[in-house]
Amino acid sequence: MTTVNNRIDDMRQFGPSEDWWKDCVARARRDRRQVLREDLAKRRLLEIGIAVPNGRVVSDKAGVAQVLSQLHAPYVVKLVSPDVNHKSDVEGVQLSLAGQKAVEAAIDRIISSCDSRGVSIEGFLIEEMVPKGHELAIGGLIDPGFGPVVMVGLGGIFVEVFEDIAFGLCPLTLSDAGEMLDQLRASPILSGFRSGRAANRAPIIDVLMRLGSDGGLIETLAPEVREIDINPLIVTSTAAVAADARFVLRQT
Amino acid sequence: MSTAQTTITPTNFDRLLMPQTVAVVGASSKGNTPGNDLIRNLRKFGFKGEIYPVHPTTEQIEGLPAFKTIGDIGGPVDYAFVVVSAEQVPAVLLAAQGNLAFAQVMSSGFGEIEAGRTLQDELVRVSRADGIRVLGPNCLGTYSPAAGLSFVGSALGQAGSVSIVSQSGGTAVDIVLRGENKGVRYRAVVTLGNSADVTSAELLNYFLTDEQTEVIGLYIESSKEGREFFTSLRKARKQKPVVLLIGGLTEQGSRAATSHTGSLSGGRKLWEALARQTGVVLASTLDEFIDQLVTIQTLPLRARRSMGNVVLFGNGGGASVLAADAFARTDLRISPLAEHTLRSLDALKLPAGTSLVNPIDTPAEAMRQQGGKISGKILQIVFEDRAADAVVMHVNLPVFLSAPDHGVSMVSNLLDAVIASKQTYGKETPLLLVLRSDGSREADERRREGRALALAAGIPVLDELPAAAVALAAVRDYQRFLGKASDQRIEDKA
Repeated sequence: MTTVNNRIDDMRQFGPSEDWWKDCVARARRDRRQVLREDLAKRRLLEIGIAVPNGRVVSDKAGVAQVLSQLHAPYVVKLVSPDVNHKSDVEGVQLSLAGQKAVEAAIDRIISSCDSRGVSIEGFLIEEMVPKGHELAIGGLIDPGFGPVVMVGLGGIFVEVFEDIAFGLCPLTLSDAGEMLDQLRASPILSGFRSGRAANRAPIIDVLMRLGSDGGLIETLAPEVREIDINPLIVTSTAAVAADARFVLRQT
Repeated sequence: MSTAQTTITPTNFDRLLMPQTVAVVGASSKGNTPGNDLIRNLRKFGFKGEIYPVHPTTEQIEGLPAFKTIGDIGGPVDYAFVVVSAEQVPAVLLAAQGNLAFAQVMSSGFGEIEAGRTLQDELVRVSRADGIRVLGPNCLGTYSPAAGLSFVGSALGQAGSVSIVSQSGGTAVDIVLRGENKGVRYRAVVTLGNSADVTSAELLNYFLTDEQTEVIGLYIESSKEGREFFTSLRKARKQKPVVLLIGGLTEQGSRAATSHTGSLSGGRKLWEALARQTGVVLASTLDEFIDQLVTIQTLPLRARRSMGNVVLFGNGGGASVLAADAFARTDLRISPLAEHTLRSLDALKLPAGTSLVNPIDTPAEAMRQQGGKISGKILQIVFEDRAADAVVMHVNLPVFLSAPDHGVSMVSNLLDAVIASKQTYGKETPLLLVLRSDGSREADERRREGRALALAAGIPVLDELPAAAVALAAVRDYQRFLGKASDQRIEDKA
C-alpha cells in the first residue's frame, strides 16, 4: 500500500451545499488539476438531476467493507488519480466485481498496474455497476466562436471512428434536443433496430436539456469549467445514468 | 472585438446601399486604378448622385474636378471608395473631418499580415472617433444595382431581392457574375475583407429587417461571429431564408483538445447545429450556394411539414435513373404515380419507349410531338391530379439541336407549353427546370434562352439533376422549418 497517499477528502470536509462547489473548484485549482475528480463531477451532475451510480471514494482497502455495506452488487472500482486521462490505459477501471474479496483484489490489480507505470494514486472510487444499456457520449463546451454548445453521439466506435455526433447551440429548446438525436446516423440503433434493445429517448433528451437548456449546467459552469464529458451515459428503456464524468477546468 | 457588441444603436446601412454622394480616393489622371474603374462603373450603371474624385495633386480625374481631401468637398459624403497605400488610409479618413458615413477600404496591408495589425487598429480608432463606418480593409467593394454602384464592371446591373455579405472579394465577384448568369438578382453584395469595423453579423442584422431584401446569402470564413449569427437568426426566426457558405473549415480541426467533446467540435458540425436550429440553408460549394439562392429567390416558400412525392419528368432514361439516385441521397421521394394519373397519361398515346410510372421518362421523339406541346399536357395531368408536391422537369438539349434551326423553335415551344401549363394548372406546385447541355455552343445558347424564359415565369433553372435535388432539398428543409412550432421564450434569449 505504499503508493497510496491519504489526500482523499470526504465530502463532509466541504462547506455547506451552496458553497461546496466553490470550495471544490478552488481546491482543484490550487492543486493545479486540469480535470476535476470524477466523484465530485458526478456529485455536481446529481445535484442538477442527472442520475449517477451510487458510490464512494476510499483511500485504501481498509474502507472497502464499510462502503460495500451501503451499496448493491455487482461493483465497479475506478482509479482516482490526477495523472491519468484515460483510466482504462492503466487498467484503472475494474468491472463486474461480486463482493468484498473481488473488490479488494481489483484494488490490488490497480495498485500494481500504477506502480509499474509510476502513476500516483489518490484513491479508489467504488460504485454500483450500471446495468447494460446503450452507451452514449454526451458533453458540452464553451466554443470560442459559438459560445456554449452541447454534443451527443453513440459511445465507442460510433463517436471515435465515425464521428457520428450532433451538436446543439445553447440554449436548447426541447425540439432542438430531439432533433440532435434524430441527426445521428446511428439513431435507429437507439430505437431498437433489428430487435436490439430500445433506449428511451426521454431520459436522453432530459440529460441534454439539463446540460444545455436556458440556465443549464454548461451556461452555469461557464466561468469555471471549459468542457464536460459524460461518456458513457448508459441508457436503458427506463433511465439514463452517467457512468463516467469529466469536467475540464478553465485554466486561469 | 466586433462593433456589434459595442455599438448601441445599430447602424443603418441605407446610405451605403443608396449613396447620393460618392468620393473616390486613389483614382489617377492616368485612369488605370480600381478607383478609375469605380468611377466608370458608376457612370455605366447609371449612378445618379455626385461623384467626387479625391487626389492631392491632380485637378481632374475622369473628366471630373478633383478635391485634395474628402473634407475639401465641403458637404456630407455617403460613401468613399479608398484605394491608396495602407499607411495613407488613416490620414485620408481623418481629413474627411467627420463628413463621411461609409468608407470602403480596398487597400491591403492591414490585419491580414502581421506587420499591418497596428495600422488596422489605428484605422479603426480614427474612423470610430469620427463616426465613419469602415468596410474592409482588404476588400473589393459594394454592389448595389439599384443605386448604380458596382465594383464588378461586367455585372448585369439589374436590381433584385437577394442580399449578400462576403468576407472574400474574389468570391463575391463569382457570386455576382455566376449568380446573375444563373438568374440571381441582387439587392446588394457587400464585401468585408478583414471586417475590422463593420462585421458580417451587423450586416446580417440589417438585411434581416431591410424591406428590399427577401433572401440573404453569407460567405463566411471564420466562426468567430458564430454566437452573434445564432442570436440574430433565432430572434428573426422564419422572417427570411438565409443561405450560408462556409470556407476554411478544415483549419479548425487541429485545435488541441482535452476532452472528447472538444476534439469533435471543429469544422462543420457547429455550423450544422446553427442551420438546424435557425432554419439556415447550408451550402457545400459555391455552385450549390448559387443554385439554392436562385431557387429560393424564385419559388414561393410556405410552411410545410414535409415534402411528399416529387415527380421527375424528362428525356433520357439513364438520366432519370441517375436523377432518382440523386434525389434519394437528399431524402426526396420519387414514388409511383396513382392508377388514375397513369390512365390519363396513357391516354396521351405516347410513343413506345416512354415510361410513365415516375420518373416519367419520355424519349426525345415523344417530347417533339405536337411541336413540343406534349410536355405541357403531361404536366397538366400531373398538376391537376395533385400527383406531386414538386415537379422537376429535365430536358437534355443536345438531342434537339439537329433540327435546321438548331432547336431554337423546339426549345421555345417546349418552354412555352411548360410555362403555360404551370401557370394554368400548377400555380401551387413548385416546378424546377433542369436544362442539360453538353457544353457545345448551340446547347449552351439554348440553355441561356430557356433560362431567361423560365425565370421570367417564376421557374428556377438548374444545370444538372443532382443540383436540382440539392436545391429542392433546401426548399423542403426551409419549408419544414417554417412549419415548426417555435419556443419563443428560449429563442428570444439565445
